Parts: sequence; structure tokens; C-alpha cells
Amino acid sequence: MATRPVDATTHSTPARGGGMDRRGFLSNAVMLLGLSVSYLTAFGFGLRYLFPSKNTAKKRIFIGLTSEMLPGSATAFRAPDGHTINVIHGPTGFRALSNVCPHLGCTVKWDPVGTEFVCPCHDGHFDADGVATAGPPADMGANLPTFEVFIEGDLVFLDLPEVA
Amino acid sequence: MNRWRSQVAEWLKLQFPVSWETFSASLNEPVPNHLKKWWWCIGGIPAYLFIVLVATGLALTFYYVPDPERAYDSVSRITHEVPFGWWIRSLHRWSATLMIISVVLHVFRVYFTGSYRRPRELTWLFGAGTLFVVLGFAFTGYSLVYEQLSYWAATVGANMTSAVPLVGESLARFIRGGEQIGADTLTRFFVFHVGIFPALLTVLLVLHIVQIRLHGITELHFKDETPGESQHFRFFPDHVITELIIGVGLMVVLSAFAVIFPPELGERANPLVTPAHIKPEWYFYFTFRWLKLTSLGIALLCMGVAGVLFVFWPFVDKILGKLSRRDLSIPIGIIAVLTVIVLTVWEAVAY
Amino acid sequence: MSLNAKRIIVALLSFLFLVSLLIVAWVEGLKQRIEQEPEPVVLGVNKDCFDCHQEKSPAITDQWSHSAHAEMGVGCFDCHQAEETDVDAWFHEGQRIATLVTPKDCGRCHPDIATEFQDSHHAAAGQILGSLDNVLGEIVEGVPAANSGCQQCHGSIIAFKTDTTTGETVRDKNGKPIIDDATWPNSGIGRLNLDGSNGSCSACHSRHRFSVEMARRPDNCGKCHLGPDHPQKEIYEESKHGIAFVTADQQGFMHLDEKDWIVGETYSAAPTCATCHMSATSNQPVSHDPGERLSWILRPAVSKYTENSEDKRRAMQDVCSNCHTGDWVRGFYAQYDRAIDLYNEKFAKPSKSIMSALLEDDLRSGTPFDDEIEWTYFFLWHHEGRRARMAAAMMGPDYTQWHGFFEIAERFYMELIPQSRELAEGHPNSEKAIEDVMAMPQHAWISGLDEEESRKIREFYQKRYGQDAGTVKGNE
Repeated sequence: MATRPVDATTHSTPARGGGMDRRGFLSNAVMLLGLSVSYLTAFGFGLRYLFPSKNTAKKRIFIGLTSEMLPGSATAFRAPDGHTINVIHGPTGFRALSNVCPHLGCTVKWDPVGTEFVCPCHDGHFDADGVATAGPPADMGANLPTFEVFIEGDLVFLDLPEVA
Repeated sequence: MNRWRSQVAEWLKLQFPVSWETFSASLNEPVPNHLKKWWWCIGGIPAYLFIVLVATGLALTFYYVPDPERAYDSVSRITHEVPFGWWIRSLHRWSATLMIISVVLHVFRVYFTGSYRRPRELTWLFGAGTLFVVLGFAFTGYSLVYEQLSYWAATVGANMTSAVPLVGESLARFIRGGEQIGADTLTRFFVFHVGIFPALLTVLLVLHIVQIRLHGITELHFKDETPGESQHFRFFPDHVITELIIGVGLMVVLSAFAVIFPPELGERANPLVTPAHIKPEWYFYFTFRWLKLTSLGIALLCMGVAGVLFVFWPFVDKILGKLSRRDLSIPIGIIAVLTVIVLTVWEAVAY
Repeated sequence: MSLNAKRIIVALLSFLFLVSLLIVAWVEGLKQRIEQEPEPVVLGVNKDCFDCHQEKSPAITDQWSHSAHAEMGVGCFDCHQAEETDVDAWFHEGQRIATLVTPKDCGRCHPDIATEFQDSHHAAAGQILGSLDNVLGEIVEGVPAANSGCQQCHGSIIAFKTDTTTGETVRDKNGKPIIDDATWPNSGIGRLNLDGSNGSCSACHSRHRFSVEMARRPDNCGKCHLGPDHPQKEIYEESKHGIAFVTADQQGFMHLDEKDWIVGETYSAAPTCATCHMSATSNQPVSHDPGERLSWILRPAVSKYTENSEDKRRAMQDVCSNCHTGDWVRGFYAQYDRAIDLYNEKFAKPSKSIMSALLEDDLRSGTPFDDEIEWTYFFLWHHEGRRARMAAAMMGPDYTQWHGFFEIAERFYMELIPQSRELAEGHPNSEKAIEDVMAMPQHAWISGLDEEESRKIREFYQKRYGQDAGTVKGNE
């Protein structure tokens, strides 16, 4: 049943019809279109799988009582994901600010005397609303990330993105 | 446009200073006419499935955590939470199942057409190796899910190796990563599944394909051939499109299976309680049944002998042919296939 | 097969593949996200408490982990923290805490609820201490009975254990003041706490899960509102309301765990105790004063309308009207008012006047429960009398009739009247009081009736409860 195949060079057949006729071109186009649309869709599903869904779900977390957060004070609060959020009772009300400097990711410190945040890495300064006032963050125009503060009666809550 | 294209071609030829004519000729190997018949194209299916398995497998590793504490939860997360996770997992699972079926069918075809004979003994060897690696893939992959059945299948499988003469204990220790199934076992299975086996399979497939290219495909001749017509046709585009039809057809089948029979997630693995009825996946039914019929030592011995005979079949076949002066391959093959089928069906029917 | 045909087949298969992918996307869209219980949020100091108590009292931390508090990050210290001025404060692992969490503590975050509760009859339940009931528990029965019985519902007066020689509060080696074990453990709803607040929120909102579902279940009220003297739980179970609840609950129609639980919106299959007495309707909010919708006081010997009873009745009728028509509700209240009036006029007031006459004539002592007739009278109003009234209020027919009015009548005619006649013999004041009562048309039947007299009594009832029924109003 099995025989040795003939030398490869001896049986290369010439292309039939010599190049593309119109029907050939059309069928080729339809085929390529079908293939690309279907496989790209499958690929798209794959990308959807790989890209984590943007978490829009917020989780409301109890921080404390307004009566216990004196004006001018900053309350450090460790979020469930581990990073610190400062809740400021500033002149414009309650503000919740990330302690991660938008410049290169160092952690900022609250200076209660100057009522501002200072980043030790490149001497960035932010006011109590988290607006960059000096240093590289101010040059970049990048402020401290803020979180939504929700006050119900005497209770202060933070709306944090849910940790998966 | 054409000038631009030829310039790019020129540049590429400069970058890769090889004989491009030889290269493209060896790629565009003419294909014997019998491959116009669908049945003879099964060999391409594993190659296509391999690509699907690598793609979906890579995607799965983005979320899978090979840790006994978290493995099950991560599979659950893939199945229930990650967008299209169930689909990816389902594609992977069904590709694997079809892979086993198609490799086995391919082996049947090659065996019964005698295509393994001189000068293609080594091609058979690589192919046989491929079959074992595919089964290894299936075994380790199933265990990674870490549900009750898969956990205990892994336990039984790993412990079985200890009955192998001489090296058994060491082999079992190596597979388990210790005296008992433990945290290291899962890591080992994971490494085999995503590192060692893929590398092995790649090498084997490349060797297998290189051999096919070098030898050409065994030509089969049928009675309905028109004399005088060319006995070959072009690889590209003719055969490539045939393979495309198979490939896209497979995607339809896989997608349909993914929706209709999505892989489920059983109970979380509990190392303290073996479930009442444990069974391996169907492709190991015949070994499982064989194990029940004989003692562990004899069963392993038989399977070992059968395995060696299978791998070295081209040589065994030759020796048998010389001794008996007859072609015994067909009756032996039929007996072997029937044995496997009977054992598999037996196990499937028995609860 | 021609190359063109093959290409078309590829295109067709691609199309099929695309269709299968669209089905995949559709299935993906249908995919039910498994609702996982949120992870407990343990932050700051609470983490220290949590980590240690997870070892020492794992059930407490586990209960809390499944609470709404845990979901929002309200942890151990948020409730157990104490002020420097709190008498029961002590230092525990560096934090000033108090063991007992009182309505004052809960009120830090839930001020409105705490105020409603403080104004309720529930919060005043501890003030029976010193009343007739308390004489029964503490003296007639004995203090341990009162401790383990009465006070577990009504609440105790929390007190520290004091050193008998120095009079100082006893503290353990950590400085923790020891609470007198005659007064605590106690989660009575009217508990008098050391910080001056009354009551205990955990009487209904059991720690440490504070499950709102549990609070809304009839079983929750059934810790106290049951038994021979006020079988509200049993009456409810006998009523159509309670019967409907069992099935509705099994079939998952009650949605008891919803944050906002509004009859007619969130659920409508059946009411629980909370539905009628506390929970929100689309017209009124939830109230933690269950007395706000009660038009009658059914507790004392003679029932009276409550203050602003018209408003309170309207509030209750607002609840009723979610399931019943106006005619139905008015008709029910007419029946209810007539039953209370019958009890008051035929049995309660007459018995009371006889008991007063016997006291005036010194035929019984001022000491409660030392004369047989005092027990008889107590049974009549405190047990059977309340059963009949409460059952009429909550539509429990058997408790209205056989456990109620039947037993009242038996107690009245077969015990109270014979016993009082025996005592009153030769005492004109008391004899007159008894005979005045028995001369009332509704009691005339007992002296034997001819046709004419029977007709007259029926006419009396007809006149009192017939056409004019339902217009009985106001305090006497």
C-alpha cells in the first residue's frame, strides 16, 4: 500500500487558470471577509476576557462620625486594598484623598501645621483639597486622587471601588 | 505597489540569507490526490487544535492560580465571573477532548494503511510520543481543576506509578513532590501542563511535520483514479483551503459544544473524603477497567508491554513479518482496537 | 471540488462560526453573576479585635462577618468603644471599651431610631419593677424566678458587683468592673443601663449579626409575647395572617432581608408582627415605637383608648388598607371595639367594682395575692381577659372564644361571684355592689329567664351592639 513518494520537483503542477479570474477574486474576497470577521470576533472575546472589567461597583464604607473629626484634622483611613486614604475636614467640608502622589507613586504626608500634603520624594505640595500647589505634581497639573465622601446625618462614609 | 513589495522582499531576503526558493518549495510540497478525500485530512486537525489549545490555555493561565487553596476558586472565577471565561474554558476543554479523538483516529489511519513502514519508522515514533504527551496533557489538565473527581483521579494516577518495578517509588515521589499528594503535587502538574508538555509537543510536532515534508505523504491509490491525471495537487492554496474548511468547521463545533455542553465545576476537592464513585475521564476508562480486572502489578506490566510494543511497532511489525512471513499487522491491530473499545465501553456502562 | 466552491464553503462556515459566537455572546449576557456575600470590611483597630477574637470567640466574629455592619466596615470598636466618663469603661488591649452596648451606643449612628425607641413602651418595660407584676415575681414567687423570668423580657437594672465591706465596685485583674450577675446577662427590652439609657437593641436585633430578617420574623417577638397572659404569638399563628405567612415564607415571597421592607411594594403575601406594628408602608416610615398604631390599651384590667387613639387607629388602618378595602377595615374595627366594650362593661368594670367594695369592707387585704379572690380576679383580667381582647384585636377566633370569653365567663360566674358573695355575707356595701352587678341586664340570664326576659336581653345587646355598633368611642 505504501510507496515512496516521487521526487518533489517532478510533480509541481502549474496553477490552474493562471492567476485570478473574477469569480476567483470574488470567492476569495468573500472567504477572507468571512474568516476575518469571525476570527476577529473570537479574538475580541478573548481580549474582553483578558481585560479586567472596569469596576464601577462602589462599596460604601463607614469612616466615623462628623462630630469626631475636628475641623482642620486629617483622619488616616486604611482602605480594604491596603492603601491609605486621608479624610480631611477642611474649609470646604469633608474631602477624601488618596495618599499616593500622582507624580511617581510615593506616599504623601499630612502636615497639620501648614495644612497641606507633602510628598517626600520630590517635594510635591498639595493643599487640603488635594490640588497640587508646588513641585513636580504642580508642574504636571496632577492633583491627589479623590474619593467620594457621603455624609448621612452625623455619619461619614466613603464610596470606594469594590475590591474584587 | 509592486515595486514596494519587491523591495520589502529583497530586504527580507537580505535579513534571512537562506535559499528562499528551496524554502518555499519545501513549504509548498505537492499533496497526493487521496488527500482530496476528507477522511485523509484528520492529521491536520491536531495541529489546528494545538493552536487553539495554546491560545485558550495561555488565556486561562491569566486567571488560574496553581495553589491548592485557591485553584478551585480561580477556576470558579473563570467559569462564573470573568467575561467569556466559561467560553475560553469550554473551548480548551473541548479542544482537548477532540485532540485526543483526532490523534487516536490518526493513529488508526496510519496503522491500518501501514504508513509507518520504512522509511517512516521515526515518524511513527514521534507520533506515538505525541499520543503519550497528549494523554499526559489530559491527565494533568483535568487535575488542575481541583474538584473532587479530578483531585482523586490525580491521586490514584500518581499513586499508581509507585507499582512500577524498581523505579516506581522514586517516580511516584517525583510526581507527587513528596510522600503524599500535597501542595507541591499541584505545582508539578501545573508545570508539566503548561511548560514541559507544550515544549515536548512542539518539538514532536515539528519533527513529525519535518519528516512528513522530507518524505512526502504516503501515497495511497484508489480504483477510481483517472489514469494520466496528475497524481498530486498543490499544497497552497488547494490543500490549505481544505484545512481551512476543517479548521473553521472545528471552530463551529467547538463553539456549539461550548454553549451546549459547558464544562461544569463539581464539588471542591476534599483531600479527606474520597467520593463514592470515582472515575477518570473517558479516555482512561480502558486502563481503569483493566486495573479493576487484575492486580496493580500485572496491570501495569501489561500496559507497559503494550505501550512499548505500540511505540516500537514499526520494528516489531518488521520482526513479526520476517518470522511469520505474513502481514500480521491488520489482525493484531483489530484485536488491539477491539480490546480497548470493549474495556472502554465496559467501564462506561458499569457504574 | 473546485477551489471556488471550497472558498465559498469556508465563507459559509465562517458565517456559521460567527453565528455561534453571537450565541456565545448572548449566553455571556445571560450569565448570572453569582451573588457572593461581600467580604467583611475589617479596618483599623477593629482588625486587632477581630484577629484575636477570631481565635477566642470565633462564633462572634463569624456572626459579625455576615452582618450588614461588616459589609460597611462598622467593627467591634465602633460599638464597644467607651468614653472616659462612662462608668463601665475599662482598658482592654490598649483601648477603652465597654462590655455592654446600649441604645446610647447604637444611637451614635442610629440617632432617630434610638429616640423612637426611647419613647416607646418597649423601652419602659423595665419600669414594671415595683409594680404588681413585680410583687408576684420577686416576692410571691422569689427573686431567682424574677431574674431568670420577668427580667429577661422586661429588663433588669444593671448594677456592678460591690465589695460588701468597702462598698466599692469589684474589678478583675484587667480593671474590668464586674457586673452583678443578678442583673446581667440580660437582654430585656426595658433594661436600665449604667449609662442612663433604657432598653437593649439586641433584644430584637440579636448580636452579633443584627439580622434585619430575624427582627422581622414573628419568632423574634415570640421570645416575650406568648404564653397564658398575652399569647400574641399564638393568636397570630392562629390568624389568617400567621397562616399566610408560613406558606409565603416557604415560597420565598416575604423578602424579609430587603433593606426597605414596604408592605404592598416589597412584599404583599402576608404580614408579620412587624408589618402592622412597626414597618413601613408607602405612606408612613418604619417606627421603632410599636405603640404608634395602637388605639386600645389591652394590658390593664379595664381597657382604655390610647392617647390620640384616632390618629393611631388611622396609622394602623393605613397598614390594613394595603390588603383590605375600607368597608372591610371599618367592619373589623367595629367588631373589635364591640368585643372590647363587651369585656369592659360586662366583666371588667363589674369585677373591678366588686373588688373595690371588698377592699373597702376589709374583706380582702391590701396585700396582693394573699386572698383567693385576688388570684381569681388576676386570672380573669390578666390571663383570660387579655387573651380575649388581644385575640379580638388580631383575629384569632379560638383565642377570642374558648381561651377567652368562655373562660372569662366561667371565671366570673363560677368563681368570682360565688367567692365574693361568700366574703360579702353580712356586709351591706359589698353585697349591694355584687347585687348591682348581677342586676345588670346582661347578667340577668343567670337567675332564670322566661321568654319575655330573654327577648329583653337580646334587645339590650341589639341596642348596644346592633345598628349603632362601631360608634363606641372615647374614654368612659
